[in-house]
Amino acid sequence: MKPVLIASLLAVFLTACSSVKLDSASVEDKSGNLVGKAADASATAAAAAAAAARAGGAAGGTGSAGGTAGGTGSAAGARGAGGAGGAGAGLPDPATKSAVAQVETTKKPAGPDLQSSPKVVYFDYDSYAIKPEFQAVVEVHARLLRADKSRRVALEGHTDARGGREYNLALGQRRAEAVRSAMSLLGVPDSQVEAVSFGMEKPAAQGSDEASFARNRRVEINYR
Amino acid sequence: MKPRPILDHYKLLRFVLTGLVLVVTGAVNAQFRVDVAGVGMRQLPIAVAPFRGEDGSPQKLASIVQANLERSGQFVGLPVGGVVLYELSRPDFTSWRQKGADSLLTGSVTSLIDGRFDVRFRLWDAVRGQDLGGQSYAVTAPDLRLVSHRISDFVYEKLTGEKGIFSTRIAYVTRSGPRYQLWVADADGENAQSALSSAEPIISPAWSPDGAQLAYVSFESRKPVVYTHDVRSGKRRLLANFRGSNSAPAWSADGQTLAMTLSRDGSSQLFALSVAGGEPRRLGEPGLSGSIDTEPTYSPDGKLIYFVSDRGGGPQIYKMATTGGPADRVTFSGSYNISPAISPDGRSLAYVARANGAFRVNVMDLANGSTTVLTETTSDESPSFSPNGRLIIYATQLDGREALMTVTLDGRIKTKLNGQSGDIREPHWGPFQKQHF
Repeated sequence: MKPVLIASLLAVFLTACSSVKLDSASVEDKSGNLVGKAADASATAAAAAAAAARAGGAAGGTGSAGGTAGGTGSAAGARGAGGAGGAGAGLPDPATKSAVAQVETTKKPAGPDLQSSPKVVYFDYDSYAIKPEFQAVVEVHARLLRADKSRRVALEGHTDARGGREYNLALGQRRAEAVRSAMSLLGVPDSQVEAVSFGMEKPAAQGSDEASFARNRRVEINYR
Repeated sequence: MKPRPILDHYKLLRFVLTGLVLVVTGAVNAQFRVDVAGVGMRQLPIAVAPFRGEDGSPQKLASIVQANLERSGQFVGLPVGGVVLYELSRPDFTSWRQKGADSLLTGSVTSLIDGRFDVRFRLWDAVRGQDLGGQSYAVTAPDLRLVSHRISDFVYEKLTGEKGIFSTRIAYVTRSGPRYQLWVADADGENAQSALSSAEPIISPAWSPDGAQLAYVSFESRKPVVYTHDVRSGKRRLLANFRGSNSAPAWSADGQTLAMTLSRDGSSQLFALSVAGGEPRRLGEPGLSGSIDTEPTYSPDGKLIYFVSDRGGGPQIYKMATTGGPADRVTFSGSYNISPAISPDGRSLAYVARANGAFRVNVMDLANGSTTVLTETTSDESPSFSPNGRLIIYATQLDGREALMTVTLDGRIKTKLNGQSGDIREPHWGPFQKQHF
């Protein structure tokens, strides 16, 4: 009777501990900011290191960006690990079974708005060809990038909402790569440009009509 | 064994059971609905009596058990009326047989002085009048749902001979306004706990084989990168943040490697990365630059990787050896087949096929290539097998909202999981977990 009671009190106590942990385990993720700001070529050594890691194609997990991500998570990790192992005698172990610590990310601040010229290239359905009417958009930004080698730009590909998320991510990437490749032909070094994709995740228009779909099939040129 | 405190008051829970079963669970206003559409063959009729004392507990255990069993497609719950039974009752088998019950579950839940609950149950074969066994648990209130799932697993295994999946967990993503959240929930969608909250999208969560970690794609740094995330501690690791997009993580069976899609060389190609990080290794043949390869998934034996490629024009599912070599095309009908998932026995492929503009979950028998369309909805996504291979969870659109459903492999029984309000998407079914009690 007594050991059981002690074990159960221990279990109750640990349960209480772990619920506190759950509440307090939200972690502000700084890695997003770090990666996002890296392209601003800001003066901090960390940002410069992250940019170098990215430009060099080094593994995120081993580079400085990865190290930072691990660091921000570790506080929650240390707190969450404590609850295990207390419940014996066939009793439940709440920390082991159902504890989930929430992590919260922070939003990256918007990049500097350098240009007033159009920054979006639209595409036809199932196509990644840059239409002649958008060639001028690409050329304007190619000129700006060539004129200032310190400028960095993200080419963000998007698709409409039809189809799978991952396949659309790849299709958006293909559109972003098409713009990157066009800029490359216009003399912009690849080091100033990163082609990435949001797939169907960030629609510009919410409707499910053709007009909305057409506004969503796009590459956004975002200065960082 | 502890002496059982005497129960002075408890009320009998009354159920209303109609053709459509509406189950309302307890004190926290958590609601879920089991919509069983279609008529299954050879469903086992079971009577689940309200657990004695469950009105005084935070969870209605019998309701949770019955909903679980019905969602499996292999059971039909029978109305039990106002009977008062518990695990020590000797049921009147003749009367239960007359009501059509093959089996009967009885139990009780009792408050202990330390605040925990003592839960006991007994399963009966009503046809033979045999005791099929029972168990008892002493648990805290938050674990009463888990106990209900364990009891469901016991009943399922006793009566079908296969392991139940009711105490496993699922991961999914919700979007509510500008907020994206990654959740870990019970297999019925309930008891969800938030693992990650972000202002940017989260997609493609994937459970590690031991159920301890999730890999996923996060856009929090204004581009897709792959994290691994220990769900218990919240500790996460930025695994892939290469130039371009990083997406579609999939764990190898031994949990040591993740396959994923990287666009660092221009087009979307498959790579394998050690879970510890390091340099990615290209999967598949070089020389197919320009075409998209994505959505890799390992076969359970670890020998094959199934994936999506548009090398032949539109997206189709292919397979290749993990060790390298040429890829073989797997899907041939239709012009758009994506999101492969392989059953735990390696025999079935679930995927999303587009036909006449509708995206539906299909299942292919890999031995002979025959396919079955499992749904009638039009925007299905992300199919994933339950660890016993009997159910597929998937995301779809119902009445203009994103929702999660489960379906049996014959397509007969579909259930909507109503664990969360708002748009629910990107489900992934976790593995069997170790029993802790």
